[in-house]
Amino acid sequence: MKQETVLMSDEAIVELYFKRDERAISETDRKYKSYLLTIADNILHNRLDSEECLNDTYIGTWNAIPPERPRILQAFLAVIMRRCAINRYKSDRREKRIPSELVDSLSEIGEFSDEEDILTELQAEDLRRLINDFVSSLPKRRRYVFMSRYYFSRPISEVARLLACSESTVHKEIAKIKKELKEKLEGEGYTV
Amino acid sequence: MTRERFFDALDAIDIDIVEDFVLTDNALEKRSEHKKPKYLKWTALAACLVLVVCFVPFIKNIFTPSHGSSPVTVRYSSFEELSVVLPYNNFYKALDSENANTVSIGMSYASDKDGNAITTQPLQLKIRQTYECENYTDTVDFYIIFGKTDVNESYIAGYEEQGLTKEINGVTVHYSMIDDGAKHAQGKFIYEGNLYVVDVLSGGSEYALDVYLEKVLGDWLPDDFYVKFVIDETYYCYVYNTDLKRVMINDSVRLFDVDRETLEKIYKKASECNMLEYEHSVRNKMNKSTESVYRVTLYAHGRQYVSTAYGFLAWDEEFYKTDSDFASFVDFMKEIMYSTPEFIRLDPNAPHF
Repeated sequence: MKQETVLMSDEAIVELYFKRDERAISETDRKYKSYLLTIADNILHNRLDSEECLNDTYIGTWNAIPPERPRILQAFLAVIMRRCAINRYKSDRREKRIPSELVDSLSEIGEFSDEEDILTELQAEDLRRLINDFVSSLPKRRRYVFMSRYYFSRPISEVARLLACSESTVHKEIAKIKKELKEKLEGEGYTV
Repeated sequence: MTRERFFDALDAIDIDIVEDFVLTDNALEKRSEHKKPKYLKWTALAACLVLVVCFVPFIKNIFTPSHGSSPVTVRYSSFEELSVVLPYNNFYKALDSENANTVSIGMSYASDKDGNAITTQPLQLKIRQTYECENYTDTVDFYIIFGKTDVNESYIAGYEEQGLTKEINGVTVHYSMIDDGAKHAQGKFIYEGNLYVVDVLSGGSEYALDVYLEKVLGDWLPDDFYVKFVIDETYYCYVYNTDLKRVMINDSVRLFDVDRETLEKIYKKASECNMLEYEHSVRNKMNKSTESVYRVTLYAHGRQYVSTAYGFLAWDEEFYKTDSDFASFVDFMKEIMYSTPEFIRLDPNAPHF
């Protein structure tokens, strides 16, 4: 008979981090390893790279908590994992090594120029605020699609499965989001 | 605007949006598992309600992890390439045995705000190797976690506190063994101010941890360094590694040339070694003399050993005028080294002894 695995609550795991108890890592690993690897896999398409990012995520988490006290540990881990994977992606891209779902999702933002532009830090901050506001303003379903596809680089098929709809429906939603985003950015003076 | 610029901007999305996404995602995943699509709207609505109720405005800057907190891994294609940034050559030599297949070498560094590795701040080295045995394979991860001096600071999954320890060549190894379908064992120990973790997943019927611990601790540490004393006009003490390459940077540094901070460290160490009387004696002699003070400094793996500058003696014409007197001095130095746990083990069979 398959043994039921009892997973520790997020609060208890966070407490272990605060006590500098290394079981925090093993409990995090038991509970979120597969979830985190999926995030990295979607970006990198390379299990070995993903596992290294997983390890980096654990280092980052161990170093961040304390003082941070995440409200939702899973989200906290996801952000760190995504960033580690993006860093790895950028590093590999510099070496022109890998394609990934990230490339596919970026290519959907087809209208965006490939030409290098120079933004000041102030402009970059402004752009971050703009996109943050844009995402916040999206209806819940579209926000979910946007985050799935562009933030976590999920395959369209996976988004469709979770929303229990067809892939073409997801494509349509993405087209609407792109249109709105383009209008928003152009309205603020960005060339897209 | 480039696509990458757009993607970078996504990095700053508020954590509360990510949290919102994660909660929705979990709800959708759960629904998907239960295959009740007709309840889609109600589940989504319920999830929305929960989110609205739970939603608490968050202080963005506190909770958005900074770039600097995200380590970035740099991969190296060979030990040779790695040794340029981390010259732990004896360690690599110990791992690079005939049967080993090095699968990956990755060093995690702290990152700057652009996500670039700060190579002066290594956080962790991970070397994954596979070892082909008769009819199975062992997968072994060797980690060095830099700057951690407590085995409890390990964050490598796969360890379960079982209260097991063993001594290998003077190093205390904490280890655990778990049967989770494969024979999974992990050992961890402190060496030179860093935390080492050896994680072994063996495809065989036995736990293979000892084999790989022995590889590291048995072949590598004990023979790593020894000290050579040279008799010439003045008596120098050189430090060599096992490749007979002199690793002491400055072979004739006089104690008088050492800065005050270093000198204080030397005195502190002497004090820890119960050499306090001796230290005073030396100090007094130092005041009288400007010549021929000895000191021993160890450099290990490209950097100065933590417990540096152990023994030193003031020149004393009466005491050291003969070779036999010098031999006494050598014996004295060896005694200090052998009796000090922090000091690196010296090989008594090394040719220069």
